[in-house]
Amino acid sequence: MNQPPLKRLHPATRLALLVLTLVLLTTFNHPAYVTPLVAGVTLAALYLCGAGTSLRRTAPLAAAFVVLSALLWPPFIKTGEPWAHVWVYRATNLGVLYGLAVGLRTVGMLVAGLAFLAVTTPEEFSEALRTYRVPRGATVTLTLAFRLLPVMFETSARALEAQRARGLDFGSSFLSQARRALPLVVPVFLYSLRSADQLATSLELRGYHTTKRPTPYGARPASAWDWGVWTAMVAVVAAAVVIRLSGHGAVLPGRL
Amino acid sequence: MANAFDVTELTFTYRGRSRPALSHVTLGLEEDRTLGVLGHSGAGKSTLLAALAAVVPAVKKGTMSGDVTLRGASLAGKKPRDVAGDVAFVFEDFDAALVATTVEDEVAFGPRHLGVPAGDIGGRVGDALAACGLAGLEARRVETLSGGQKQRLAVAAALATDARLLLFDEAATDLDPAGKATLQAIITDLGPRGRTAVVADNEAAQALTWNEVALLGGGELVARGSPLRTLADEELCRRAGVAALNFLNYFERRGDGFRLLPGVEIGRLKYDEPPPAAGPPAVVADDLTLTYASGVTALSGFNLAIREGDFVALVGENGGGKTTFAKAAAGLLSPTAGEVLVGGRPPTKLSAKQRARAVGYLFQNPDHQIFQPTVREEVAFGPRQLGLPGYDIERRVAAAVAAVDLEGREDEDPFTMPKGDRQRVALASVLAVEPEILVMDEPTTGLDRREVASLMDAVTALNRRGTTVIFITHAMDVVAGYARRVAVVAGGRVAGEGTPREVLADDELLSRAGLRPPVAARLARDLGLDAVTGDELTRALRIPGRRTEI
Repeated sequence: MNQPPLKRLHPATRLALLVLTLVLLTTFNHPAYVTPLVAGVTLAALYLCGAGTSLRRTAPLAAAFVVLSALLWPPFIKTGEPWAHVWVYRATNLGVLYGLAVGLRTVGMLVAGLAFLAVTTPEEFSEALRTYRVPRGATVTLTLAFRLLPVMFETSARALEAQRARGLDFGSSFLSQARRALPLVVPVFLYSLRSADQLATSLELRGYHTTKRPTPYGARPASAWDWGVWTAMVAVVAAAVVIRLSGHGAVLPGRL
Repeated sequence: MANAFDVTELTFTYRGRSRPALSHVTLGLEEDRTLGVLGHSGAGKSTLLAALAAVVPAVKKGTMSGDVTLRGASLAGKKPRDVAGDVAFVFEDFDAALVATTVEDEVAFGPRHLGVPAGDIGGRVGDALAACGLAGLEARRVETLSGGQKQRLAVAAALATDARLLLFDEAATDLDPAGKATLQAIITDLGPRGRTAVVADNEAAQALTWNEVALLGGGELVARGSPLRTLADEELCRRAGVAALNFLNYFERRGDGFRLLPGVEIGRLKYDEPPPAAGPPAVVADDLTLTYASGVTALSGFNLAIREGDFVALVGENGGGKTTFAKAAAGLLSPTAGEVLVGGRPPTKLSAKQRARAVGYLFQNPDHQIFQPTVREEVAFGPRQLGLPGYDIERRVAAAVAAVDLEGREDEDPFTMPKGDRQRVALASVLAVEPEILVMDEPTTGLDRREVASLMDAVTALNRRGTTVIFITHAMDVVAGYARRVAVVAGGRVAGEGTPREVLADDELLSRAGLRPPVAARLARDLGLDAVTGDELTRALRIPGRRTEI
């Protein structure tokens, strides 16, 4: 099976790429600078990470977020030329541009996160954290949280089905659905408690120990490619910071 | 040479309980042997296995006396991590014990944490996956596997640790008969490979291939001996709450199978077969296709008609589509193509109340269904949703509680009850809605003989009063003993249907759906009989001079 190109990198390199991408996206707050960055991250997510399915699912949400951000930020930005004034709503040109940039930047971060998840399993994420000397207890907890989430979703779905089968009408409004779903927390919570207890025993019986490092398995050592990608990305971020510090790429220079 | 383990005068009482889970149990097992531990729910099987893995009393707290040794070394003061690598445990709730996200990582977890060199891990993973029929699924995410596949994955993860003592706590509950046979073959092969196994189970027939069996009842050791003679003893099995295989009294072991004892006469039987249900159609699936959002097509061209008043068992391989059809019939899933009709109408078009009145659905795991603090409130929940007046709710609760034999326990907290009782609470809560059709998804899983009989007798009584019953099961002896009609589901469609006797005689159909007849039916067929239950086979056999009560 063909692996996406970024999957071939060491998990620690992928994590570094994610963090540096987030830094890069926060460097500028001008849409003219943020847009190409987001486009680049999206192309990388599509063609280097194979994240097409999750990007398609989140596309409507991302588009709505950009529009909302462009509309909601302006009332808080007083600088710039008046651009729109409808009843109590006032927007300046700089406010709209800043809101647009923040929306795009957040979407870029979301895309980067989805791309990372598309090429990284929780075990690889744990391996990456270990590489950066994050305490082992924390990395295993994180991995198990990833593992238990689907189990909890499944338990919740079954509990919902069980009550629907007994005539519970969840209604159409969000509030009524939330109110009626509240009692279902009980079986999900109890099952999770029991699961956590059994999981702890299972971990112990299979040799898990918080202070003992497991044998590396399946993880390739970092290669020259990893070092190359790492260096290139650091250089790109450094260049972006220099550009920003020299007074470019910001609608509002005083803001992040 | 020391035994694989020795348990001496072991008594253990869980914290907060007054009755001991195990009482003065003394038991040992030589290396490279397989011991089946059988007994009713709460007999102490899981506690015994937990003691062998140092889970009791290190993790599950309580008061313990007596001693447990592994290969001569006492486990006193030891924790599970101290026996890791020597002992592997396959839990009944296998899903909760899986720790990784991919199949390969799951199996590699044990070896990696036990310090196995990196170069050896791949081989261990490959061997374990191949032994459990999971080769090729290395990259699959664990949550995408079926229940049966997850159970086999849990076994593969245990095998990969290369432990000398393997403990299986009702590890076959979610497997179809073919899966159970595969697991049996894996466990049988452990002895010749220098491994010792202890297998806790409710089903006597599963234990026939082990070297020895131990029967537990009420926390005490009732008996220990060869599977053939111990499981044929009505009195011992009764004390342990296990279904005795009486018919084995007429057989002796021969190689891997059984041979009729010399002098036993084979009689002819007349069966009192119930007439087929003749009412109008209750549930009709017409060319039903159902594809999940994940893209998996669970049903494709599924056709089945179930008449009012029928008692139908849906059987078949894991992942064959049984549960998907049952949920579609209950209106919990919408067809992708074709249709399913309940009383002539698509259940998804009914309101929540109409649907609940039309089809009651009993889920496999009662813990997904129960959420109220008392049995009374749990059972009253459904009728309340229907907006019924108080007196009617009280009447329905009383009737439902009586139907499942839980009278006098209305104010108990269902979460503190044993699983069999929780399953009956769940059934009562469905019955209180008084549905026209009752659908049950593996209702007897994890229940002991008494609990199975209690539950199925209650359902049979309902069926006699006119309720149409559809139940999904892997327990072929329950099918043989209770169903009037059987639909065999394989590959997302109905592969065949008929009476239990017709279906259990059709080898080709059974094999296509990953099924095997119960052991009594297999032995009967070898004798040219068409008996399908142990009782029928026993009635057909006679030793001259011995009086047989019929």
